[in-house]
Amino acid sequence: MLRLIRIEFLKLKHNRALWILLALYMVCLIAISFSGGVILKVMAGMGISYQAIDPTVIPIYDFEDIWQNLAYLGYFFKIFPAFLLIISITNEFSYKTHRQNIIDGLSRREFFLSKLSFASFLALLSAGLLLLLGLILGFSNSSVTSWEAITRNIFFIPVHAFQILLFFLFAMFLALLIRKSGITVVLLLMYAWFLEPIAAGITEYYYPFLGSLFPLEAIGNLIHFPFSKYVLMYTQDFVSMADFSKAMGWCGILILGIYYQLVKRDF
Amino acid sequence: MAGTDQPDVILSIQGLSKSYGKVSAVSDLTLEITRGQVFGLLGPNGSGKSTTLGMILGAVNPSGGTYSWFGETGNHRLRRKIGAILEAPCFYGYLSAEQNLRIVCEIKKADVSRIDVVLERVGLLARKNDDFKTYSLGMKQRLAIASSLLSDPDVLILDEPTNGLDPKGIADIRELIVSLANEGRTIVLASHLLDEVQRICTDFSVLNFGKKIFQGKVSDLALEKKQLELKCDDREGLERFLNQSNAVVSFEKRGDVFYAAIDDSCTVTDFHRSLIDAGLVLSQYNQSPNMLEKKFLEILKTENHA
Repeated sequence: MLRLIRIEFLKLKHNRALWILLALYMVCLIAISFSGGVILKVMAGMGISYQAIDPTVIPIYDFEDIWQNLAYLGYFFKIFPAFLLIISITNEFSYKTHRQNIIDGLSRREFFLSKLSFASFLALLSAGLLLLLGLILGFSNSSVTSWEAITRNIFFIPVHAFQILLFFLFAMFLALLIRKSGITVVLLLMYAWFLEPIAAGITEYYYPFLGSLFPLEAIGNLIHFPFSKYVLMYTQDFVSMADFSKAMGWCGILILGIYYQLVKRDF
Repeated sequence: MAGTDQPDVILSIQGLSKSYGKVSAVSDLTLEITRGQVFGLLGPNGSGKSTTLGMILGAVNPSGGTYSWFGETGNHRLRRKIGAILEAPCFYGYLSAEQNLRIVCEIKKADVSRIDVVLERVGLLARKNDDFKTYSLGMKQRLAIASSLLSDPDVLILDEPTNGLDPKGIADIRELIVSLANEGRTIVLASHLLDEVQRICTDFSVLNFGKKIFQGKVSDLALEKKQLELKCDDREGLERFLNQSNAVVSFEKRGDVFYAAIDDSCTVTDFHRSLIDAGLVLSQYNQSPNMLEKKFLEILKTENHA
């Protein structure tokens, strides 16, 4: 397995696009993590308040809230690392190195695993950064810093890793299907921003259950919108069995789809 | 060799087929390649050569049939011990030669110390830190051969290795292939260039429309009637000689050059001696290089009539 990771690393470490996208993603994660507090301060400065509450006392950075808040925000910029994966896959097709790799003695399963390992690495990197940001922001803002409070909802960090990995798998599936980077990126954006939200929205209106089965909808629902709790006093701060099952279902379908394309299609 | 005269089979192909929908690219191909052969796979463009090589190298999934390397069903571990290039050289454009070969080393589980050895072998050592995309086509092709040598393989598969190269590049590659063959490596060379196969190969097979239509030894071709290309300052004298000599089966004259078919029993030495006896000095002597071309066209013609 280490060998497969090494192969992928050798392919990518001299690719400038990789480092730019990776840096961009990290900057975005850091910026959005810090932005919540800044926005609340600005609101306070402008004299905005909700039901006479000073916005800066809203405990967005308090343990245990912080984990879900960051995990939710961390999913926003998933498109950057997804681009990386798309590039890493479509590069192989444009240089025809996917074929040469196989001829040189990589099995198709190994090729699949080397791409999967890169996706997992990016997901873990993202989760690791969120964990670090959560600890920094939590310790500097939270009123409670007991072990119990810190760890109560920390499972949102591994859930974030899983969630973003599923999105990566979706992007990889598209990249393998289309094999051209430009078209894949455009299609992914169109699908994620317009096609699925519209289709899922309409379906959801008539058949709520069916609507929740759309892939990106199901993946997104792993972490529910957390900020409603500060207004409505309620939010789903756990991963329901139903949501988890739908996401797992897509996980299986996407891995099978990727595996099928790598193993059964001609190179 | 335990007292057996069995040939050492490198590659065995049994009834291999590939079809794309209704189009059959390769049908029921059976072939055997033994150790030490330099095997030419001949055929017009689109005859199924590359598809066949793609299948035995795991890149194309066969529709039917089987193949085995060294007596073992083909798999990726065996492929690491084979050096192969299919069609154009395939490398990452943004990486240098060395960085590209590092990846291949990792795939083939070859030692990285081999990189300098193989680059030296193909004369690219000085350019090893330059990006692949800055290479000329000839250099790319040489890098591909270098890459195929990383695991010091006993078997090399080369698909149209001189395609698109300039004469210097073609000569370089051919020289390289011959020297690799002389080291005792088994080589499979797919080509549509007949004189290339005739110059380099020991055995050849002809594919057409995905079927094998001929297989034989290149040396057997030379046993058939010798075709000579002759030129002499004394044209009339040569013509008279060709008319009278028993060894000459037939001849024709095109401009200054005479093309003569010589009887099998007559050796080149005998023929020469009789020319000297007749007081003729040649200004040009060629044993026709297009023997394979003639054979090839003949085979294709009979096949098309069949």
